[in-house]
Amino acid sequence: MSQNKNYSLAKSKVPELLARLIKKGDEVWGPMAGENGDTFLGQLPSEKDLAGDYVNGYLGAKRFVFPQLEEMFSYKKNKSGLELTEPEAMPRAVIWGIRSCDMSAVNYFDSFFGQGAKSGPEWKSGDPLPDPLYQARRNRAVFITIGCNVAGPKCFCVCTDSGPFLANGFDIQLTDLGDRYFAEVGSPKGEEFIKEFKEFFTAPQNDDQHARRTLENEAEKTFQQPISFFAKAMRRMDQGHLKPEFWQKVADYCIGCGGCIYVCPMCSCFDVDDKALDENQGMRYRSWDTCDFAGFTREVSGHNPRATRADRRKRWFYHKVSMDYLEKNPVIGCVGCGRCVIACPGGIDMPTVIRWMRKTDIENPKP
Amino acid sequence: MNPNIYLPYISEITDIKQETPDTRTYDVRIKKKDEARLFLSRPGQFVEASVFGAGEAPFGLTTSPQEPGMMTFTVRACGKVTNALNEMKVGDEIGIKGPLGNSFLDKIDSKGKDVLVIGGGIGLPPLRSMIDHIFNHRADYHDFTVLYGARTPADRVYKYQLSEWEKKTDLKLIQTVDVADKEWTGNVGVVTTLFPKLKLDIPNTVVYTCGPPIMIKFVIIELLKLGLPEKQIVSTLERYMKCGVGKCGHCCIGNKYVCTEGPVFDYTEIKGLAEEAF
Repeated sequence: MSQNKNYSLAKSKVPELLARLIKKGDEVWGPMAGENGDTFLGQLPSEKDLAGDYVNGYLGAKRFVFPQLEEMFSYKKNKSGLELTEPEAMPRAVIWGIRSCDMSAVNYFDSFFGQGAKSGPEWKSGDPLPDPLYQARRNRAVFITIGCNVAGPKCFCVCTDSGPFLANGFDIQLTDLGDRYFAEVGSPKGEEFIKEFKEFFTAPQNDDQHARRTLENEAEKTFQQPISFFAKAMRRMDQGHLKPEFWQKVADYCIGCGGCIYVCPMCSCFDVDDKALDENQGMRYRSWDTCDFAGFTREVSGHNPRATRADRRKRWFYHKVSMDYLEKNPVIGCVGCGRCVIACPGGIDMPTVIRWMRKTDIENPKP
Repeated sequence: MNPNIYLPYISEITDIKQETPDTRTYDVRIKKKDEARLFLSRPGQFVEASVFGAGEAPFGLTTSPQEPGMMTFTVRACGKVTNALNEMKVGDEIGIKGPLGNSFLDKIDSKGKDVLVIGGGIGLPPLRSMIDHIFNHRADYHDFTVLYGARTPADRVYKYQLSEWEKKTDLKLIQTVDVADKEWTGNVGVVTTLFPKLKLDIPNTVVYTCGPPIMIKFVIIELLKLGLPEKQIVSTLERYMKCGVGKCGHCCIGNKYVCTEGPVFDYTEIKGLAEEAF
């Protein structure tokens, strides 16, 4: 959207707005305080559960659009035979206060999960297929993001073109101006939402847009994480500079926990299995899986195309940053949220390995 | 394919043939007419078959063409879904998603050329759809040779079919086993040991191969040594697969999804990938 429409929302009005949504029967998701001082995205039982000022928690918007465990359909054996039932339609969900990085990851998912794609006889090999589960969640969600005035200690979204503020891709983007939010509309869905709750959204003050620009410029100066320059790392990976010794070194620091993948807002590999309730009924579900586990590719014969931890580490970074993948989706597989930096016990997070990739040469393949 | 890519068609097992002690061939029919109408497979494509309660697994279709909604696949009982399938009988209901993936016919056109099919063990069934296709259009193809290798004579699938093929004059079938039994009078050794017996017109031969990863690897090495052009080496790959529709990520090789961009690839498509395809 070239010309965003802008509004103002008083912060003091936010609890009332959320309460109204909850009462109406909408799902309201927002940052909630965990028991151990962490923050996570969850469905708010009440507007009072919304966390205040926060740095991104371990689990962001992925928790909504691609839940850890999700029913695909249920099956039941009747006298007349088998019957399959698709999951029921759910109410609108307002996803409140996610950060720019998470919104960017959802936009990446849109392309991967085939939003707008078609299945059926006209489908051709290689075309994306539409994921009905993702589609249902995406279509019922209104994403209201909050830009970041100050970068978190591990953030590097300036390197991945996914923050600290967004130009598009959101339904409504809020900017914290102290006592009020400056609200930019980014989609027809956002426009409709504001129309529905017009008593909360007023005209912005004259210099609010200018203040938003200034905040973005200031925010860009607050990044503390050693910045990762992806371009050179990508080139070195695709030109074959990174030899098996390099990946072995990365693997030496890896304990194979899969944490980086679970917290990554762009990782979406899953397992599919059935859960029988009894002999005659049950459900098929999908759950998060990771290319970090040996069983991810191990065939029943025992053959495993990615048998070693080095193979699997290479796989993850290859999928994230190789230009081979840009052919399919012209966005690198990282939004700079910094979660892997916090999660990885071995310290081989994205910025670290990117730095190693840039500096490693063929003569000295170990980082 | 169903508009909901995860939802199988309810189908019925109409026939079962015991191939080897642990391998059976299933004839399956999609039950609802309006769904069956949409199911038309091409040689090389596969389905995801569900045994509800156990899960789903991918199987290459072994015949082509068939009536809409009808299919045949051969399964070795070795894992959770395949063992559950092994317990089923004619008339039982399973789920079918598909037809999935691409076809041998999407690769280099082998019409007017010599065709060499190289199958190993349970790798013959997915190739059989192409063998059928060639028989149905036999005049379009030149010399036609099938090499089939198995661990032992008893491990060979389609024994009834193999003895018929041996009698054919428009097909040359050569079989080999790793370990012979008392009755076996044929070749002993891996399938590549049959290559010297062939008089190949290298520039005009197209090879279709499937089998255990180690077999495919050495077949390709030997074919390249003989000077076969890379585009004329066509393989159908098997990978551990979950969803079958390009989402779950399990079957990826490099940047390719075996399920939606394959399972049929020519050698130019897989040789440069960031990791071993077989």
